[in-house]
Amino acid sequence: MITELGHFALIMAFVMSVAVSVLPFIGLRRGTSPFAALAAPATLAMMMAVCAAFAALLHAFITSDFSVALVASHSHSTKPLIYKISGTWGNHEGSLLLWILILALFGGALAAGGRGMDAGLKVRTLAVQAMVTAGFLAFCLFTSNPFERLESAPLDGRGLNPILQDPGLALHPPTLYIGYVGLSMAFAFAVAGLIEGRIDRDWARHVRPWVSAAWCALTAGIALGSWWAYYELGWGGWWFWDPVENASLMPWLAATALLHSTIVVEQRGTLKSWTVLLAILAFSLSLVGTFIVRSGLLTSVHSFASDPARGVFILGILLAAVGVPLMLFALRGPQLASRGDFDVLSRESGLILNNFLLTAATVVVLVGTFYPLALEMVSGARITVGPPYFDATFNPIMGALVAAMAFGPVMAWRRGTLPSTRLVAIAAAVGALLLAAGVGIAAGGIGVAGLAGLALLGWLALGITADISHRLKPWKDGLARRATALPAPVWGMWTAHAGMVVFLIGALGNGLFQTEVVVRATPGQAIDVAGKTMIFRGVEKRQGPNYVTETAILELRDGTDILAFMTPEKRFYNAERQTTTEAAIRPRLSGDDYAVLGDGDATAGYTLRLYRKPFVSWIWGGAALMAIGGGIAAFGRRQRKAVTQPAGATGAPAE
Amino acid sequence: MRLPRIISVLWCVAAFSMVLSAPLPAVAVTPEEMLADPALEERARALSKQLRCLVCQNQSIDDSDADLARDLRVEVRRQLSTGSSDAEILANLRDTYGDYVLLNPPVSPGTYVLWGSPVFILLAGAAIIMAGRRRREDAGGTVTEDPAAPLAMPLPPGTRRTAIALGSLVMAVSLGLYLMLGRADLPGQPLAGRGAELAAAADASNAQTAERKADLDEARSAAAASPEDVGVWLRLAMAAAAAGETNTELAALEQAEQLTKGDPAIRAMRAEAMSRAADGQVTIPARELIADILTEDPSEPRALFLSGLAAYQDENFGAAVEIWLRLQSLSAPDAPWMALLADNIADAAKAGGIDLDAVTAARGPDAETMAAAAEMSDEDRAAMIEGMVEGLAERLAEEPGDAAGWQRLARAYDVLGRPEDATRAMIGRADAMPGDAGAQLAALEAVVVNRLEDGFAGDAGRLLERIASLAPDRPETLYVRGHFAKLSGDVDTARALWQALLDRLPDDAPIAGQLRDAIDAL
Amino acid sequence: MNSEQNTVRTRRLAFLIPLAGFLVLAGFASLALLATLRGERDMTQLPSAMVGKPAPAVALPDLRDAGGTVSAIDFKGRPFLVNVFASWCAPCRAEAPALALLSEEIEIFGIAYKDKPEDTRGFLATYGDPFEGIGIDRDGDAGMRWGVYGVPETFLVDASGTIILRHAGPIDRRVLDELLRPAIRDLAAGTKP
Repeated sequence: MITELGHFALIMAFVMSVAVSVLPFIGLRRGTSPFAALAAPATLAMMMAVCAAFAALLHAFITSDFSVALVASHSHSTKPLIYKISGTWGNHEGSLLLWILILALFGGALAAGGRGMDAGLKVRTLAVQAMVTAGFLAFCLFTSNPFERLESAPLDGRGLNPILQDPGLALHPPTLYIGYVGLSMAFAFAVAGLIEGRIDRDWARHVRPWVSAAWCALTAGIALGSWWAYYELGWGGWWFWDPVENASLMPWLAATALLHSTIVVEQRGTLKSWTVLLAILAFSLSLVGTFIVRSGLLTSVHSFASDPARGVFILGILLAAVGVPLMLFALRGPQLASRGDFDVLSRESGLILNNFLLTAATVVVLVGTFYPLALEMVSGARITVGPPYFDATFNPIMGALVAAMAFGPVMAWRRGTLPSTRLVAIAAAVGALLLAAGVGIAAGGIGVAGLAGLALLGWLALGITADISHRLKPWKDGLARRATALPAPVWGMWTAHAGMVVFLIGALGNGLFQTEVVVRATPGQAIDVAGKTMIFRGVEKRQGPNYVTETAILELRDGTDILAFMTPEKRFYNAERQTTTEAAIRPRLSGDDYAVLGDGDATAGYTLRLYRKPFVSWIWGGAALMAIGGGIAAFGRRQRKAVTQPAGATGAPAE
Repeated sequence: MRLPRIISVLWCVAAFSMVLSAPLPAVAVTPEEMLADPALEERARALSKQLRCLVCQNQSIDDSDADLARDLRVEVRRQLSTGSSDAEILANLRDTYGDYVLLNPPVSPGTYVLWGSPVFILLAGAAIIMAGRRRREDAGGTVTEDPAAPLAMPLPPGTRRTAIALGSLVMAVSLGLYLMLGRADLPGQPLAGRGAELAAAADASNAQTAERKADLDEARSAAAASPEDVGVWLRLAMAAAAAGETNTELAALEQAEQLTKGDPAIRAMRAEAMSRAADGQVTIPARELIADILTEDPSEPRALFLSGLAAYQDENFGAAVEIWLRLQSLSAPDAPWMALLADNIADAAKAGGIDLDAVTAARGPDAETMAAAAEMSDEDRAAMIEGMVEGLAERLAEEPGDAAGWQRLARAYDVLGRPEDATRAMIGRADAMPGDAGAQLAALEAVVVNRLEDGFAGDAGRLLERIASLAPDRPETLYVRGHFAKLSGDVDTARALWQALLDRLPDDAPIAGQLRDAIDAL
Repeated sequence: MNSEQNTVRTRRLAFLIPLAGFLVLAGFASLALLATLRGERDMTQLPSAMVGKPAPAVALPDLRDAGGTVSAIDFKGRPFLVNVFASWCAPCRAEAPALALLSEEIEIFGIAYKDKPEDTRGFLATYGDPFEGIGIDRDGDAGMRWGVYGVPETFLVDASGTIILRHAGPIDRRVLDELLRPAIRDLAAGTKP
């Protein structure tokens, strides 16, 4: 019964979303009309309906109602409760409903909030958001209905892919989806602005928190996914340039660019059309990313079962959701007046450079991801575009971006004060080169790219330090006053940029100094890994809640001190008849000890893959800092001055 | 004989035997593969990171646990130890597996765009920014101030009414959609409330397993006790089939086959068991056996079924439908396989896009049978029809209302040269449609033509009564009634009826003369 | 004035770039989707680099003659099929009937890929034996030389010993009727004159 109520709620949400996407336009044309006034309450009602539908599906999963086809094919009675819950979105239909839920929640948030916004903009934004929601609700109801029922309910379900039975899965998709879908708000604002023909500083002021929030969630979501791959897949890597990973990276890059370009619109009223385009593209890339994989066009290790018939619907949605706004952009974009006048050395230039490099990086990833498909269509040839390609193209662009990151924030709006900047730059450059040389000599055997990376790391760290000390002047009195006077977005920027430094420490530390040992070990054998000793104590068979496991016991020693016991596992899941390996990880700030158990038996020995990964957890620590920075920028105290400040004022210590 | 269902599932699953599945968390390179020379091994690892595991999704052979990845790793190391350079090894593998194997796409006409695009993007972006800067300098002065916007709309009048109207509309449309999509008739079945059902299912499954095992054991000892009895071997085969022990089943069937000196039915059972042993596939050896059986006995139902199944598995759906339709027409309507057969025919017709109605209408079970019969020897034909007829007669005894069935039966008896049975079938048909004068007359005609008036006097009387009231004035009625009246000695009535008939006939009608003679003879 | 209009026009054109880029991408995606829906695009089918190259002449232990060897070279002089199969491979079972049909038209050389000889014999007894000769490729070396990436794979080799065609995956009706049989017919027609 509850399932059917949920189904009905979903249908109602669909009908309401259609109403909200159409009626306000009737309303606005007639001036002030009840239709327009109803957009916000109707959006809230639609949000409640979607919540009810999602709750009903959750209920079906929790109670293992196998009369629901989705539950029967993706759940199992012996699964622990948490995976019954996370199993709700561990499949195509459920994840689609989660996506819609977040879409509706964002719409609801704008409907309930949005204070101080121009009423016309708000209603139009809600309408655009409702159109997107309607499209996905139709997709959900008519091709991927999660409430499909079975005439005769099976006695047990078919289970959830064991690799997805992991706490990471409970968090990763929702976070990532908040990021993806959060970008829909920027998209809706942009399209509404284009329809109205008005993009201004006020528009930017209202759209910026949404972008920051979405970017924060997207950063966290990608980091969670990468962390999950790191410990669950057991390959020891954290980024594989897989199409699905690229699909999440592209909107992130575009959103990062958007985040910076809205600053320019808000502060200086310029780069309007470019910002609108980025807002459209960022969400379009989210759509392309999440859904192209489900159409079976690209294959990936992460994807759900794909279905080309669904692909047709997806392509239709994409054409409407991306093509129409881009057409609108081509028509209305040229009319968006920009104002200019700034120096080559100015904050504006720095942000344009930032946008330029991020866009180039996005396009490189886009081309690399879709090139095999395009070539296959043109000539039938099949090629692979793998990590070496991205290392050769993406990394240099990101290196340039990091270089620009160090001095961009130091510069003032309109025209940079070169003398002060120059001093900082020279100091940073010298420091960077010293760091690279020092590490290079101390460690030895580091390639040019590695040395360049180290130099960039030093350069960025010193640049940020210089900027912070320049603004806060900690050696002078009144530090606390100056610190509290700074608007939250500045603190957000510092946090996020510092996150980049931390991330680079992790990436470079792991990339340049990792130790890997692969051995076939018999019980009692001691293995040396980067100065520490692992003693293999043997393998035990254990029984888990819904799996049996072979657990290796490894004693990690530093000299004679026992540091830890590490227990990498190989699990066999009965219901799904699949094997997974669980890496054992001992995470420390100085680096992770990482162990994976392979095949083998007591007489021939077991294959062990043991790693020492210096600083690797800094990768996710850095990403977390970036996300926190985004959160500060989104939810912290805003600087109100910018709106009333006369245009053209210089040197405002804004972000 | 529930084969096709298993098979269609297999057909879908058996796509390709590669490890295309989930990213198997892997230990990838194993110590055994590794080269003793650390420098060579390092090169091997670096090379492995450049090579794609072809059967995986975006994994290098260094990361993958797939068999093929292992083979490639070994191959790379083999070539390294023979002194090949890195470039040579990559080139060799590219020769065998194509560009797809290289994770770093080689520069070639096909990848010019790929490799050129980063450079192009950087140059084009720089150009656009430069152009934009110049323009901004040109337009430096034009500052458009944003117009002040109304901050909030007052709530217009009539909002409440509109809200109610809109709400009702939404509800109505939703309800309509729900009626199309929803399943309000299905109650929820949370697992917690299904304890009894689960227990019952478990019990039933346990009981079934135990029962099957007991059956099998019993059948085994029976076969051991009387190995000369075909029946016990067949029972053993069935018990083994139920328990899923195909080897025992095959052995038992071979025994039975020897004892009966190759009885076609038993050989067909063996063909089925062979197919079941091959996960439902009608294998080539099984097909040979089936072909043998069918040359000997073209109507062996199990062999026919399997032969249709073989065609189905070859995706030769037309042939499958044809063979199965033939089996259907040959079988007694209550044969145990009829329901499954009907399902399979529908399935095959659907898969092959065959319009079943058109096929059956064109051929018709009778036409089908006759066409098949035409190719047979006379003896076979008779045997086949007799088999068919028996089934039909049995069914009609249970369902005497099937007029068409009676007619078919009558025709079949005619062909078999059994006029008495044919006549009885015609009477059955007349009884099935007591309101149809034509049926009554046809039956009576059969009685008269076959000169069976004595044997069917009672039936004839009943039919005569019916036509007398149904169509008293039809010429045939008058004639037949007169005929029977004459036989019963009622000459006057006979004369009166025939005279009435004669009056209705035009004078020059060909039978008028005969009739006159007959009246005179009275 | 004129140059200003031109600037305006180029500026307007620049705003079309995103739409154009998107349409190109969508075009490729539509093409791919269409091909997938028609069943013409099979991600598991990789074009073989071996087509057009001479068939590798690896001598393999003969399954039917202990101690003897067989090789694709033995077939040279007439067109033949090479089928790489294994008893552990489910699709190989599925394609057995199709191979039986093909064996009436052309000789088939079987390579038992990474399979134990006794398992191979059992497989042939159960599913039929359409092969003219069978080589045992115990450790997959021959498969590697043929560029095999999964079983079953089928190669068509012409009389000169050049690989004409490769199909990866089981031979179903469609592959049989639309790919292999026409190719075999063409080959027969081509070699006669």
